[in-house]
Order: sequence, then C-alpha cells, then structure tokens
Amino acid sequence: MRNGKIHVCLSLLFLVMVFTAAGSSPLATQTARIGPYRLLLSFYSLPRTGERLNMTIQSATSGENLRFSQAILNPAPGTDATPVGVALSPDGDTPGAYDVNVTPPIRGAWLLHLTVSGPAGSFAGDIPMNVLSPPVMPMWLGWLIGLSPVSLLLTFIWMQVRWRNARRDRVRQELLQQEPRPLEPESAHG
Amino acid sequence: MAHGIAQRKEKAASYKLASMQPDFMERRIRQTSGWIMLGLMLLAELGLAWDRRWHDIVGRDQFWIPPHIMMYTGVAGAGLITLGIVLVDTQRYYQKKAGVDDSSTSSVLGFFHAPLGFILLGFGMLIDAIAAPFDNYWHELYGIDVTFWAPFHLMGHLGAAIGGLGIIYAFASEAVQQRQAEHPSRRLLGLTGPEWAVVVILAAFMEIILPALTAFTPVVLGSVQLLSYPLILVLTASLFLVSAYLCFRKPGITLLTILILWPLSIATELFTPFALRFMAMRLGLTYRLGREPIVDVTLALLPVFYLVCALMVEAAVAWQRRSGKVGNGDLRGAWLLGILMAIPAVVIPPAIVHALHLWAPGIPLPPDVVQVLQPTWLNMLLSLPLAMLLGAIMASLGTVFGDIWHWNTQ
Repeated sequence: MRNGKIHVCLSLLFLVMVFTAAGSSPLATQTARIGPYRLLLSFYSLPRTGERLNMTIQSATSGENLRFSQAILNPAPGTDATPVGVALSPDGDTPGAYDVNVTPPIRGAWLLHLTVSGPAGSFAGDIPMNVLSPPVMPMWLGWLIGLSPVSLLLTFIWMQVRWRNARRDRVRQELLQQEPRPLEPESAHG
Repeated sequence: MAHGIAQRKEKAASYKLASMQPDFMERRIRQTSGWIMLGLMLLAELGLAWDRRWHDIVGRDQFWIPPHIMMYTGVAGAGLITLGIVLVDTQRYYQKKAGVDDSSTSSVLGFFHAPLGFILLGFGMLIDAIAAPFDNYWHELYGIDVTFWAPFHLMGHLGAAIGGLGIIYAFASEAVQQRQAEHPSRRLLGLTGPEWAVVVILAAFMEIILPALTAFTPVVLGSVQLLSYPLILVLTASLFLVSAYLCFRKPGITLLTILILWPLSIATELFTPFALRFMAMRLGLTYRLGREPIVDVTLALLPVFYLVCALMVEAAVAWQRRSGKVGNGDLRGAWLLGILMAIPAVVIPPAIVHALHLWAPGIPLPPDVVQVLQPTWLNMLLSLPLAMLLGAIMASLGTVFGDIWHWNTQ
C-alpha cells in the first residue's frame, strides 16, 4: 500500500518533469547563415498558417553576442502573399537570444529577412522557412461545399414558379367564369 | 383652399385609422426590422465593393481586414435580426396574434413560423457565415490572389443573393399587405414605405455587380474569347428590371430604380479609393504592384447600360398599354426584352471605355478595366447569342418573381 503511494508520487513527479522539460526545449531547431554569422533558430511552435509562430534566434557560436533588427517575413517566389511584419525582442530567459513573433497567413515557402549586427559588422540576409497548412481539402470537395447553395436556390425557384403558375391559372379560371365581363386576366403573361 | 384642408384632414384621419388596425403591431415589427436589415445589407454591399479593391491593391493578407469587418458586420447584424424575427413571429403565431397566421407566414421545420422573406434572408446569412471560415482556409492554402471564381467566394455570393431575394420578399409582402388594407398608407411619389424599400434593394442588387464586373474575364476558346461580363450585366438587368415593373405595375418605376442606382454606384466608386487610402495610411500598408487606388470612372458610368434597358422596358409597357394588348399593367413578351438587353450589355461597357479614351484621355483607367472591357468586334459578336439566351431566360424568371412580389402576402 505504502509502496503504491510512492509509485504514484514518483510517476506524478516524472510527468511534471517531462511536461516542464517539453515546455522549455524547442520542438525543432535550424541553423542558418547571414554574412559571416552562423545562427541558431529554435522553434517553440512550428510555422503554421494563421498561428502565431514562437521562436528564438541567436548566434550558433558560443560566446558571440549578436543584435537582430529590421525583421520582415517575405513570401518566397511561388508563394502568393504580401510581406508580413515581424516582432523582435530580446529573450528574457536566454542572454543573446531574441524572440521572433510572426503570424504567417499563407502556406508555402517564406523568407525571414533580418539584419544581424555583431563584431564583424552588420549584414542583412534571408532565412528560408516552410510554413505548414492545415490538412488540404480536395478541390472537388471544396466545389461541392461551395456550390451546395445552388441546389437550395434552384429548389426555391422551382417551387416559386409552380406557385406562381398555379395562382395564374386560378385567376384565369375565375375570370373565365365571370365572362362576359371584358376584363383581361390580372396575371397573364405571354 | 378649404377643400384642400379638408382633404388633408381626411387623409390624416385615414392614417390614424390604419394605425388602429389589429395587425398594426405585426406590420411595425416587420417593417422596422426590414429597414434596419436594409441598412445592414447596404453596409455589407459597400464592404464587398471595398473588399474587391482591397484584394487587388493591398492584398488579402488576413481575415480581419477593415472591408471584411464592414461586410461581416452587415451579415451578422442581418442574421441576428432575422433570427429574432423568426423567434418572435413563431411565438406570436402560437399566441394567435393578429397578422400572424398561415396566410402571412411560412412554416420552417414544421415548428417555426415567419415571413418567407425573413426565412430566406436567414438562410442567406447562414450560408455567408459558413462560407467565411472556409474562404479564409482557402486563402491560407492558395494565397491572396484566389480568384473571384473560387468555391467559397461563390458560396458567399450565393448566400448574398439568397439574402437579397429574402429582403425583397419581406418588403414586397408588406407592400401587398398595405395595398390590401382598408385604409391607405402614407405615400411618397405614389409609393408606400415598403415599395420604396423594394426599389432601393432592386437598385442595390443591380449596383452590386458593377465593382466586380472586371472579375468577369473572358473565357479563352482557342483563338477566340467568350466574353463573360455581358452575361452578368444582362442577367441582372433582365431579371430585376422586368420584375421591378411587374412588382409595381406602374410606368416609370424602372427609371426610378435607375435614378437610385446611379448615385449608389457613384457613391461606391468614390468611397472605395478614399477608404483604401485612408486605411492603408492608418495601418501602414503598401500597395501591391505599385497600383494606387483611383476612382474608376468607367464603373461610375456603367449605369448608362441599365438606363438603356429601363427605357426598353418602359417603351414596351407604353406601347402595350397604348395598343390595348394587355390589361392591369401586365407585360407580354418579356423574354424578347431580355434578348434585346443583351445588345447593350455587350456593346455599352467597351463603348464607355472607348469614349473615355477618345474624349477624356487624362482620366486614368485601372488595368483590369482596360484588359476586360476592350474586346474585339469578333469576340463581341460571338458572345452575343449566349448573352441573348441568358437574357431571355432571366427576363422570363423576372416575370415569375415580379408576379410573386405583386401578389405574395407571406
């Protein structure tokens, strides 16, 4: 019984450690180069459309302090989008690292353009990035859903045509019964 | 003088009696909500025109852009009011309140009872609300230049069309109720309030396609091009001008519709570049492809086409009345009018562009106007039969809707 409690406590402690560790370590890392500087990108969330990207950027060379500025996310050739503003701020936890926050609106290839300043001077460059999308709906399903109101509209029009024709016939019948009054039917159409 | 005063007093007494009718409350509920919805729909329409230009000049970079906010405010507001009316009228139906019975409501799902127009409007707004997130998803997948003909753009347009039809039904049935009432209602230039609302909506329906006209690009078939802009023009003109006349059966009503449409069109064309510049400046956005927003004079002049079509309808009505061919304001051979309307639909837009080039070369024209509205004679000639066929079908449908709006009390 007592051993059981210890096991439960240890398991809980393990889970807490696992979850805490997962929260502080990146989901993925990527290295890049701008000018003479080697950079390390740590992704705490993967780049997805419509979701705020949470990542840090820092020098991949230990002991080298770099400053990052003028960041913008540009669509790469083949991606139909407009540039998106990027928020850059020094990371509170890791010295020398910068938080990068941006919400890419469209899937595909993008270029994170930024200026890096360090001991060798300032250099601007692009870091390629692939933005993921939600599962892609097949084109035929898109058209099926998109055009589904057509059936509603056509059914409604068909019902209205029937209603109008029935009413017109009724008016004609009434007028025929009222003959020889020289009145034209109210609703007769050619 | 004394006779005039007596007449005025008599009218005032009659209006007072009208306000004492047992169904007065129902009329007030439907008409007040109808006018609010009309305002919201016009707001959405202006938002749509702005959105079209935003897509072209700024780029649809996210869902919560100002034109979308404007458009969906109208859609959501109209949808919520419709929901309210359906619930209120269902309750009033079961309470057997005056003016809420099977002759003035339609049944939905065997339980709800509401005016047919409000039900249609509700479905239209629901379709738009469903289309919005799908459209956003489609843009996330395929980029900002997703064409006008994308599945969820079309779904949104269909929802708007169904909603627009709904609001016409709602006001047209009110107009019928007022015509059938024992005591006359107040009129302005011979039209009651609901009748004015129908005229405004018909004008708005015809106007809504003008800012989107250049999205109707030609369909390339080998060495020739099938023009698609005449199709949407002839569709709206033949459907709504024929139905406008038959709904009211008053000569001159189609010209009055154009008289409302034209300022609406000019206001839209003036508003969109101003709103684009203002919001781009406020949000620090740049224009794509170096295109600055400009007032599109071509689109502001396009109501000339509707004016020509309205004159056709009025001429046919006048001739048929004078020759005694029809009675009670009827209109025979409307399909023929639809066929004839196809000719100005094909010819007038390029003629406007040509005239502007000739007489006002200083006025800048957007590239899409130059690209779409300058077809060759051969392409115009080839596209004419299809436009004529569509015109005939839509004019015939216009007679159906016109008759229904003239009779329907639901």
